[in-house]
Amino acid sequence: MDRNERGVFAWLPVFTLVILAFAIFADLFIAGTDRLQGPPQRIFYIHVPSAWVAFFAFFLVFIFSINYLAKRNPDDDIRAHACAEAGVVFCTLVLITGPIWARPVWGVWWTWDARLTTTLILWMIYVGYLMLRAYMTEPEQRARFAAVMGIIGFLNVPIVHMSVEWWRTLHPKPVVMRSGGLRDLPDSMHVALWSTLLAFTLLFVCFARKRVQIERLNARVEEARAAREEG
Amino acid sequence: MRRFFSVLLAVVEKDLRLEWRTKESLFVMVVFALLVLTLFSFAFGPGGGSGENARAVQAGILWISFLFACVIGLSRTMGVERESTGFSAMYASPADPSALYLGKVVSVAVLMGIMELVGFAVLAVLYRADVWKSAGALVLIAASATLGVAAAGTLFSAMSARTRTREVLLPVLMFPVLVPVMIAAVKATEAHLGGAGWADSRDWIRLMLVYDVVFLVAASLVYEYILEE
Amino acid sequence: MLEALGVSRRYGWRWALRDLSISVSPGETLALLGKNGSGKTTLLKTFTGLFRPTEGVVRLHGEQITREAKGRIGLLSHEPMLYAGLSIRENLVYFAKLFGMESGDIPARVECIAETLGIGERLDEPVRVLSQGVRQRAALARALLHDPEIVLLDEPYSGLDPEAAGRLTNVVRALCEHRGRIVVFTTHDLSKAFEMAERIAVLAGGRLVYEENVENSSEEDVSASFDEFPGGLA
Repeated sequence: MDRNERGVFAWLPVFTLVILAFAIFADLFIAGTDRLQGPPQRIFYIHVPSAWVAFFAFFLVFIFSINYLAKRNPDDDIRAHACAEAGVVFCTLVLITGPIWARPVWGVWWTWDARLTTTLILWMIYVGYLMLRAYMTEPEQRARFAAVMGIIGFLNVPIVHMSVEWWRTLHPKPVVMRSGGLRDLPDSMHVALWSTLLAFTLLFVCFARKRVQIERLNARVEEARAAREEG
Repeated sequence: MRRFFSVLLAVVEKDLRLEWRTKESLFVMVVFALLVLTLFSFAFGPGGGSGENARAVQAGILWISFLFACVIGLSRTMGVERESTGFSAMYASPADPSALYLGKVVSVAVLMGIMELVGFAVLAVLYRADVWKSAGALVLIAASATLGVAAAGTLFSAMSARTRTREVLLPVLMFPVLVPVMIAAVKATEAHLGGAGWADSRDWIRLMLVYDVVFLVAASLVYEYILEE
Repeated sequence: MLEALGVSRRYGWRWALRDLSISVSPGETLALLGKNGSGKTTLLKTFTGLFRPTEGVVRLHGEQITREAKGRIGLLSHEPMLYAGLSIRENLVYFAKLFGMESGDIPARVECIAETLGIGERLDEPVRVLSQGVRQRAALARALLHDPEIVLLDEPYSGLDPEAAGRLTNVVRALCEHRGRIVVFTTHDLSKAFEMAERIAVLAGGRLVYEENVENSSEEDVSASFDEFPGGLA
């Protein structure tokens, strides 16, 4: 289970690297330069897929958490943990790329844009999730508490988003939001966006799988250590 | 159903009686809220600054001070449960965990309500806010916000009370999740302090009520996993 | 019948119970012996439904322990399980309500159980000021309050003076003999175990290492079972 990766999964990291290389190439060279924003717009191909992958990861945390509470399979807890960690990585990427893009385009590092703010709150919720795990020692209790946090945190996302959206719309918007939408993108940009999304999704799967394997090994080490202490 | 309420009331009675004996949490909560209210007036100038923005600043100060003070009350009441192994004692009984949870929420909300009364009074005096003009609306806003804060606070403090660092984790877990309630409470309070009234506050109050219902239902369902030893 | 079937429980990364099977019939009193950390308390808490076994199953009359079934179990734990700021009476009334007792019956029942345990006059004193002995009896009153069918006592004699211990012995005897209860208690005191119980079980390292009826057993046998597992009993 831990060592013998079979079939598709054995080649997954290699495959991911190939797609990732293509995606970076597409982002930089295939996609045309945006007429209004210029080169900084290219960060959009990193920013948006990261956000989607982060949301997807947190959704998986929610699912694995429910599964854990229902069936009490320690693997579900490990999976939820792995997804949360990988999700926070991508969420951090969103929060870093957002300001890098905003600075040249909007002239400020940070605006309290509804989506960006929701992502920030989301990031805080899941950093809290990871801290809760870090501060607990008893594995079963930790798994239960974390699962509760994973469920409640995710249920909150739509309400957080709604409240932040209202909060922003009741104020004058500082800058015009991204106009258009996906349909207005030229084909070359579509290639860049979707290939990066695929690459990031695969990267997320690789991260999460690796994390699960490490956590299983950790559990075995801890168990062996406890057994040895008992003599 | 009758048993559900009898358990719920028993928890409320027990918590309030313990609090009445010592008055530890309530006293600290009120003093802490007053302190924050005063300190903010140093930060923003007397009365929360001048002009249009003053009402917004006052509403913000008020709710931030309530939220901070509530963390203390929650840590205290869950600390008592931890010291007396109340979680295990409750879990060893056939009582419905949802009733145990809702009882705790009610007793936390009652304590917060008393603290808020003092807070609003102080706001009226120190910040010369016209609290009386829209007292009814403010009570409704405070009630829906308090319910949300108590709902989230009870769940997260039951968790954080049993981590290695005890109460330290509570704000980290609780504040991000309470963002919608805070935005809504501040905006709605601002609307009524400023005179915009129901037109601006109605949607915010609805948002809080939705939050309250979602959170109370979800947390009632998962509380049993928190009680388990 | 209360039974544990192949129960394992992981606590932290250690196994507090390992593939343990034992059963107790109505009317029977079982004494659990074993050194500290041998899994006695974990077993009692698993019987109470406080712990879910990591593996295996605990059954009461052939069914898994549900929330409703907890109303038929009374646990006296090491931990106080009483609110220090409330009086004994307030504590007992609170727990009576959690256990779903009719509010009309509660005051009389509280008086009655307190009388039986000899803490009738102390009912209105706050738990905070009580001596260890009285506190232990108050905790016992809490465990027996709802007249449980299964009584689980974790070292009931700790902190009791001989007189109180004698009184407790009588209470437990009455429980077993007259009402067909299941009583399981843990102790370090071999002679107490032989005096009170019908069956003796010894745990070591989370495993059951000795189980015998009192008639076929002797204190020497039980002591011997302790010594057989020098490593596991640590």
